[in-house]
Amino acid sequence: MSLDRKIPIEERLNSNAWDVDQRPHIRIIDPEQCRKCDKKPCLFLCPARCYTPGPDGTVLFSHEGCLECGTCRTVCPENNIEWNYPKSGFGVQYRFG
Amino acid sequence: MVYLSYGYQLDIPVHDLIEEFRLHPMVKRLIKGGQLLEYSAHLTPVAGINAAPPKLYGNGYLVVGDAAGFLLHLGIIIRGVDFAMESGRLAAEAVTKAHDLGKYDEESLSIYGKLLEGSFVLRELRTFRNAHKVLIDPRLYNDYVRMINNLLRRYFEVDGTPRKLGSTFLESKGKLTLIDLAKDAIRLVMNL
Ligand SMILES: Cc1cc2nc3c(=O)[nH]c(=O)nc-3n(C[C@H](O)[C@H](O)[C@H](O)COP(=O)(O)OP(=O)(O)OC[C@H]3O[C@@H](n4cnc5c(N)ncnc54)[C@H](O)[C@@H]3O)c2cc1C
Ligand code: SF4
Ligand code: SF4
Repeated sequence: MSLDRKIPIEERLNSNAWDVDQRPHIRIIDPEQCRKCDKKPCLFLCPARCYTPGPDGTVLFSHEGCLECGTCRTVCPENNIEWNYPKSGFGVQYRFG
Repeated sequence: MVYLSYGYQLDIPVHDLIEEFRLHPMVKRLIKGGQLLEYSAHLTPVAGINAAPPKLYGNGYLVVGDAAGFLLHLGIIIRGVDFAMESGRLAAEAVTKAHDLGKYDEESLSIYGKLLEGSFVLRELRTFRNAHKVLIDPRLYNDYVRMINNLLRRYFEVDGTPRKLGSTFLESKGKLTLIDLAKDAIRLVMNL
């Protein structure tokens, strides 16, 4: 993989080892809150782009690429994110620290 | 490293920002020939012991390392590995003592608090308790970096005009006022 260009996030995430649980470990509690949240920091601060803009000011969440950093939970001004680690054995498997 | 409290001011998402950083000519040069092995992200508590949980031990538990807020953020360095190791070592010592007593309640584990008090961990963290408040100021990473670059460029550039340090400095400081400079210098010296 050439490093001389911007590597799309999907490609970067593909370099990781995962065992994704079907059941999401993170959940947006109330989509209505997201519509009222004007800054939507989750869109800017999730390093894995798990949060993407949805229709009508909503936000869509997908847990597959989650790096388990905890940022979204910390920055959501509405406390609108239910956050857990994936079930034991699942999730991202860091091989290099 | 991104301070989450300034996340609101970002105009591009962090996953793009990191690519811009990586492709910056200065950085690119340093990692030339490298390979992408893994992509990860990690949160770290820059507020140090100000963000520590109220209790570091109790019935059946001890808190060490980052979880205990044992992290020192001093601008360009983040230091936490040594605190994590030392607090882990002290916790192990406390558990060994509690094991001798055959009890793991708050009282038997309180030795951990005493060991921490006598260690370099709390001494260092207390000394720099307010460092993050100064270092989180975006001016340090924007205006001051620009000022230093301008100053050095103006000073060393040969274009036939004489360069006196004072006037070069005044030309280079951009929108920083002398009062800003004085205030920031005092804040840095007081807290670092
Ligand atoms: C970008 C960056 C650069 C840094 N650079 C430096 C440096 O140059 N020098 C330095 O001294 N420090 C540095 N640090 C800080 C240092 O990495 C941390 O302070 C240190 O790693 C903390 O160690 P720890 O054991 O307390 O926590 P961690 O290393 O975070 O370990 C916690 C472990 O617990 C596991 N865990 C979490 N929840 C559960 C659960 N429910 N069940 C089981 N396991 C769980 C995690 O997977 C993890 O392995 C840096 C930090 C960052 C983010
Ligand atoms: S920060 Fe929280 S409330 Fe705002 S859009 Fe994201 S999940 Fe919704
Ligand atoms: S934990 Fe980190 S990687 Fe996972 S969704 Fe939240 S911000 Fe994104």
